[in-house]
Amino acid sequence: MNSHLVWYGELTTLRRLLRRGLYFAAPGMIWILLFLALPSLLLIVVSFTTRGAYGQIEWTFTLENFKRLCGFGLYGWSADYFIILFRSVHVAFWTTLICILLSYPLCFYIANKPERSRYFWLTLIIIPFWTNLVIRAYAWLLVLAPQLPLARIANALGLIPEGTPLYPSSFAVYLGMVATFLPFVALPLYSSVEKLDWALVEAANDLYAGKIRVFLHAIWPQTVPGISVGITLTFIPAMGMFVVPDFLGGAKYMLVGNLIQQQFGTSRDWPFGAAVSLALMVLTLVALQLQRKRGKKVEPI
Amino acid sequence: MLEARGIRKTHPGGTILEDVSLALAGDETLAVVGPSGCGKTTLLRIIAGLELPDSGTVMLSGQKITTLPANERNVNTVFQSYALFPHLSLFENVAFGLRSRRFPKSEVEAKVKTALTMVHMEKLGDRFPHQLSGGQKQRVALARALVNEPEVLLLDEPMSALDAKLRQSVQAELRQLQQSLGKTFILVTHDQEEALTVSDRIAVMRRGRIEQYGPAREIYEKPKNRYVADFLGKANIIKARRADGGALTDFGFMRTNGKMEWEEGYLAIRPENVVFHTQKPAVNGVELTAAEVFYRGDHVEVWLEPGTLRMRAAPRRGIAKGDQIWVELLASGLVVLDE
Repeated sequence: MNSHLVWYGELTTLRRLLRRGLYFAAPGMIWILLFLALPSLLLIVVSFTTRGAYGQIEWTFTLENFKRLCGFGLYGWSADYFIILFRSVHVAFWTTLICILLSYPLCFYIANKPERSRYFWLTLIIIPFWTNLVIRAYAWLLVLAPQLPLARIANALGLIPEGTPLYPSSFAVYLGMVATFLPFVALPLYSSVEKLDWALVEAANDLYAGKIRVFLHAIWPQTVPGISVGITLTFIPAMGMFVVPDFLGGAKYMLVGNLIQQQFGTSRDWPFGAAVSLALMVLTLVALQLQRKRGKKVEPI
Repeated sequence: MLEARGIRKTHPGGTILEDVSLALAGDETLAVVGPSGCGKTTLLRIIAGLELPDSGTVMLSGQKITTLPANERNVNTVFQSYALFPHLSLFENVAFGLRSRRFPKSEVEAKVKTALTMVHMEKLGDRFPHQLSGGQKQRVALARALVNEPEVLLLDEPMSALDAKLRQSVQAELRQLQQSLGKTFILVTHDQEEALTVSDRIAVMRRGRIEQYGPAREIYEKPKNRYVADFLGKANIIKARRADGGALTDFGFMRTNGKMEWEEGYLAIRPENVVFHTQKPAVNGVELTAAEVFYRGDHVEVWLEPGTLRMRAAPRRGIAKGDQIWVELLASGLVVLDE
């Protein structure tokens, strides 16, 4: 009797089972190793190297890039990079929040539609995915262009001078960001809302709750899983987003994504770009960790 | 005192309630029974304020509450799924209604403790709903409703998720609880045994109408029609023709106490009112063959032929399949049906 065992109805041995598992897992593992783990390591290494005179990497190791990131530059200390980092977190936070606030009524509206028209509405949410992000960003430029209705309204309200576009501005950035990320919050939230157990809402009403209490205890906890996924899918990419702020915010509205892109692009300073990237990754992991801890509290659903 | 008058409710799919009326004293338990889709849950929801009737009124203690929102009526519900808040501890679940009404902290604590003790859950206040068994959830749901001291407690299929043994003990507890609190309980069920055990009054519903409404005993012993007789307990339905002092049936002339309004109609008799005799009884006797005998422990059920009459007998009688036996259809147990 060597180690025979029954695996969901299949008679096999432990060794065979392990070998099979390895075969299945190998392609994915190799892929991740080659295209994620190794490049990440490389990024870390590069962040400690020096930029050569012509933008090449010189393999003299230094902490210079991180010092620079902390604001110690050629001309003394400045808060520029901190501001950029803070602004990125700030924009990502508000984008996520606005997306959540917009998604709630949207999702309840769709979930209360008869089943057939629900798919129509969901399709409308998904349609932006069919178009490339860059094209959508350009489309926003057109929408916000001078002499077009939106710019005219803003002009009439005295917000902008005549003949100017609505970009670059933080309004334009938020508009673009929210438009980009809304589906990532709305779709997971919708899946929670659709499954909502309305008996809890009835129970809360039956137990004398007012509207706020009904929401807090009967609706919100049930939508936390959806919101949680939405936050992860929005906050993290939003922090590193560079297309939208670049197009709609211009040079004045630099986010960390733009900074990285600039270092690897026009500035040809790969070591510093790598250092900034690393900072973004760390920031992202911290944010994820914070969110996971918050999520744990309401796990038992 | 709860009263419903002329309640009607239609959905796009059809009529759910058609002119339902009932009145209930303050300290009684009413069981609303009927097959699924008969409208019994809708009736409950209308009393709870979770649905509006198309017409008709609901009165509670002399006040019209038909359009009063659920969170303003002194009526609480134990939901079929229990609907406990998963993110709140049992204590907080039970405290929910009190906190909604901003009771002072000390009072909330005292009342919740009393309520949890009442359902024997006082030690589990810190637990969360997902850590409980079905029976425990049911108790918490009961405590969560009762802590608010409602005038009327509504229970929607409260035992449907419990196993048979647990069901019996919960039924007994529910009965005791209602009697000690002296409040109105209304429960919806499709379990006839539950209805008989727990309630003072029973309303039997069919297709949006109340077929018969009255004391539990009356419903069982004097069903009005075939539907009620069939739904609550087992009944033999016998075709009959009116005769002097009784009725003429397939089993011969049968004396009965009931009044017949028809020339030809039906009588009902419960299996326990078909009584075994060793020799020809004086009245209402008939000799039949035991076609099937089912041993049930405390009794045997015998199917008699010809005419498929079901009877109950003590196992010690030793009735065997194929035996020719004399039975008496007790005159007091022969009920005249309307239709």
